[in-house]
Amino acid sequence: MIRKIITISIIILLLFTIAGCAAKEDIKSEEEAQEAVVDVSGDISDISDTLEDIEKDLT
Amino acid sequence: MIKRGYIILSVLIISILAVQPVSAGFFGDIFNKITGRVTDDIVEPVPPEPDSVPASEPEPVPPEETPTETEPVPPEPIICPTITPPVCPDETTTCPEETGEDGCPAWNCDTCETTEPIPPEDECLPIQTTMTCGAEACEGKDLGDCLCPMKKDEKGCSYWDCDSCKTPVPDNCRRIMLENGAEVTECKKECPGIPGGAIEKCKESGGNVIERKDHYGCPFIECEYDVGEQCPSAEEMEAKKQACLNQNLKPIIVRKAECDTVKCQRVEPEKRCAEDVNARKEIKEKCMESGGEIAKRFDDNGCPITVCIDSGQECSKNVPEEAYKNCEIEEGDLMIKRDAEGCIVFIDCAKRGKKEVGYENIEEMPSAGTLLAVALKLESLKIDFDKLAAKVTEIAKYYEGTGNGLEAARFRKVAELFSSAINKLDEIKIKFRENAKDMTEEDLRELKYDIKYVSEVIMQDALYIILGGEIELGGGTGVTEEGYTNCGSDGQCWREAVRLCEPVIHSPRPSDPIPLDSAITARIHGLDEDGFCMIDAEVNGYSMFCKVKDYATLNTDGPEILEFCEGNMVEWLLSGVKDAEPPKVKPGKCANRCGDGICQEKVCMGNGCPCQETFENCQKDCDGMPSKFKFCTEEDEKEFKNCQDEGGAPQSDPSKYGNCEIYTHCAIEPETLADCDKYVDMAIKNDCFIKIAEKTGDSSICLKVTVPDRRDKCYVKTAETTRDSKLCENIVDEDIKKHCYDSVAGESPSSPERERIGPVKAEEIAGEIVFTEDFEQGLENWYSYSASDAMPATGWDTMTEENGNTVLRGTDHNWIDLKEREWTNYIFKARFKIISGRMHFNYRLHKEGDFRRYYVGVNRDGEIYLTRSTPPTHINLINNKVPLQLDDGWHEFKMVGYNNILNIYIDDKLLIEYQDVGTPALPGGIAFETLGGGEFLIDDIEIQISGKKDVIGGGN
Repeated sequence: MIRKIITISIIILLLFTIAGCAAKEDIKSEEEAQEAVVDVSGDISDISDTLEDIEKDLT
Repeated sequence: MIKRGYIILSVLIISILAVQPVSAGFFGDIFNKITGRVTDDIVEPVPPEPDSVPASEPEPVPPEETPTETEPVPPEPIICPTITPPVCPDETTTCPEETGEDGCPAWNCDTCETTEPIPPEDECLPIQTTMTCGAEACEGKDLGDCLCPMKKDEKGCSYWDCDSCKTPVPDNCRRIMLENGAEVTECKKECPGIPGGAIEKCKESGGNVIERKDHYGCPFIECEYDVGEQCPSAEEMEAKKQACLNQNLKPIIVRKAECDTVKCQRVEPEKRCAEDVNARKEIKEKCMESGGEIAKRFDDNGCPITVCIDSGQECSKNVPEEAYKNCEIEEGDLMIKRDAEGCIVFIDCAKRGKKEVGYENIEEMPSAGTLLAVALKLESLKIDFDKLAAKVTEIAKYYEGTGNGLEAARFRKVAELFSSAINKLDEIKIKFRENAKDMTEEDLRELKYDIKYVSEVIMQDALYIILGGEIELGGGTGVTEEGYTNCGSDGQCWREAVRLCEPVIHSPRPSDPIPLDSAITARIHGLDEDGFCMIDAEVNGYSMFCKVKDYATLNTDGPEILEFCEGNMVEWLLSGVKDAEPPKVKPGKCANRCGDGICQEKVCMGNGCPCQETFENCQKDCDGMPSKFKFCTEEDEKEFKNCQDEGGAPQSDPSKYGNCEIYTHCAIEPETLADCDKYVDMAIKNDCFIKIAEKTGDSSICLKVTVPDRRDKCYVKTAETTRDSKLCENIVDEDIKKHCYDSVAGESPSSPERERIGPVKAEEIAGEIVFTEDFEQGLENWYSYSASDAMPATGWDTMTEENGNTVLRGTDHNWIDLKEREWTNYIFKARFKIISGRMHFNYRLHKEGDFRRYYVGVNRDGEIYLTRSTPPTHINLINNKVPLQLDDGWHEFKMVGYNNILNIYIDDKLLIEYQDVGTPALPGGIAFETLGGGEFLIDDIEIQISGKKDVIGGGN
């Protein structure tokens, strides 16, 4: 019986952990929004540069 | 039992606590102490060490030896060093002396008495706790790149010293603070003017001169070459390239009328700074691993570089002058984002995306290894793109939540740009996969163009918009009162507007099949709620309305846009007929835009065009506008006036589509049969007879009605008045007769037809064949009507083939519906033969209440597509039309539906496998719809109830 409880507990633990990891963080304040904008701006620059690299690779 | 309960409860609590650190409360504290985990919420900030270090450091005291417990050591006498006491900041007194932990004297300068004057109350003006440069208090001051320092005046009052924020921006530039907190530096420059002779050189070489303006509003010219009857030869292309070089312009290859041609472009300003993306990524990754912070610094050339700094290390707050100059040369606006401390966290020379990118000739084909590496890079980019799109959507949601519609719209627009870019990348990936083994130069040229377009146009525009840049369309000659930029005939202005779905009006030059003297008007109305860009166009009485999804990557110069459009203009353009007769204006299903602030006075008549708005039907948009009344057809207007002349009250309704008014009937109130004699118009006279017959119940009056279906109606009315179903026997039309019986007796007598058809919707048993049709008995199961006015029509009829077989034949834009039958899950089979044009196979068509259907389009040009239609929305479920090669013979169409899974076969080959994750259309019947110029033969229809095992996809 104890084994069953432990098994179930581990499963529940795993489920909670997975759910916690998968949870998406919402933006809640102007500060967070501004941070996200900075993040996105940086990411766009990175992606553009990668695309340029790809384009050069094909030359 | 109780023990077990405790164990389970304990385990559950621990499980929950393990997922998320407890933020507060007694149990939380205990748990966090046990596990050693803390959250940001419960960490007490560690106060900084008090600055108590005296001016001269005391000599260090050597550590004492640790005495053992067994051998007690007597305390040794303390020998303290001789230290001069430190002086207080006022430099007049020494710091108060205290006893240190080692027993020696120590001095605490924190307790020095202040000598600053204490200002009397109410003498100081209140100030904010923090102040960044550019804020209101510093308005009009020379703004700088640092936080304004707080200082105290001679009275001791605090103030923000904006004067000390010195700016290094060049004289011709000014810094603007955007609402989103970013700083933008805008610069001006003297325009050099168009070089002398440039215009003449372009004209002499056979080009068209296009005048444009650069980032600073300085004019320059481009030279464009038309494509003649045939695409330019290699020699001609080379000559045009040389002509560009002679004009000191850069030749690029562009597509026009499906041909390559040359365009002479201005030489773009060179890129001054280019940080290696891989090096930057590496720095970021290592910095995150080491717990450092990413920061921006500048190299000797004023180019920003990414560095990793330790927490607390001084960050970069000042921007070197070279950085401004670099951006000025690149024709951009330097945009800077800072954190609360004023540290630069993002800096970029923001520029609008390129107006146009050119095709490049391939000089050497890359190796298979390079192509594979590119394919892998594209794969990883797709993941980055998805994450980026999710982040932008989150930002948009946040602003929607705060009610900041402008910011929300800005980020929604960027999300749409990303969506287009993602789909384009998918296309590129597929092309790579399909052509990897035998990629041709042409394939590679297309791929390079697509990649360049995403990188240099879409991503650049996305960044510009995100950073707060305002979109201004180049080439626009003004803005209408309704807010539409007038692009005139400037194709580049139009293409740029489509890319961003900005509201514009465009008058393109006509090309085949539109006659050269025609005036085309195309308008972009902006995005609808579902993110589709709404575009309409009109010419010579033809119109179309388009709802375009991936508008940012759409080629509007080619026929691609037509697949998103509906209306008779689409059919005309596809037909390629030059001398098409101007059509009679027929209303389409219009979109209600009342409340958008624009009075839609003049509207196109295609499906989805805006409904016509007047003061009467939309006061909020048309307040102050004169009252107007537009009839759908000349006949409507004529009958309306005729009714007035006859002394009746003409009645009209907005068309069921809403665009215009349709005359319905002439309201008359005759008292006696004699009153009917005064009417000259036979239609009104007949109405009069029907009125009197209805009033008196005298069916003999119906014999005076001259039109058969009106006479039938007369009998219905008298039967309803007298409740005598025998009068229904006089009715000729079977449908009206049935209606009469239903109306009078509550049900119609059993008819052979009714018995054969069976119940409208019976229990569905998988595998059961519920309907077959070979048309040998005619069209008694079917109802044929015109698509334009829904009136019965003979566009669909039976015909007998040479072998004696009877088939169904449909022409032009007409429908034929199977009467009164609906199912949910079924297999729809039919044999078909294409004579010309295209046709829609309608599946789960439902017309009562909410109209819905799926339709599968098939055409001679070798395409098949699937759409879900719930007017005014038509959603193309398959982005790209599936290629289809059909000969002139008979083929079998088969569509299998099970709940939201749809499989479509032609000649037993599965062509479309789709799971409708939206709101699936069900249940419904079947119908066929030929479209303009279409001619199809249909035979041997079979409907069989389907089960889950009959479909592929959706987990099967």
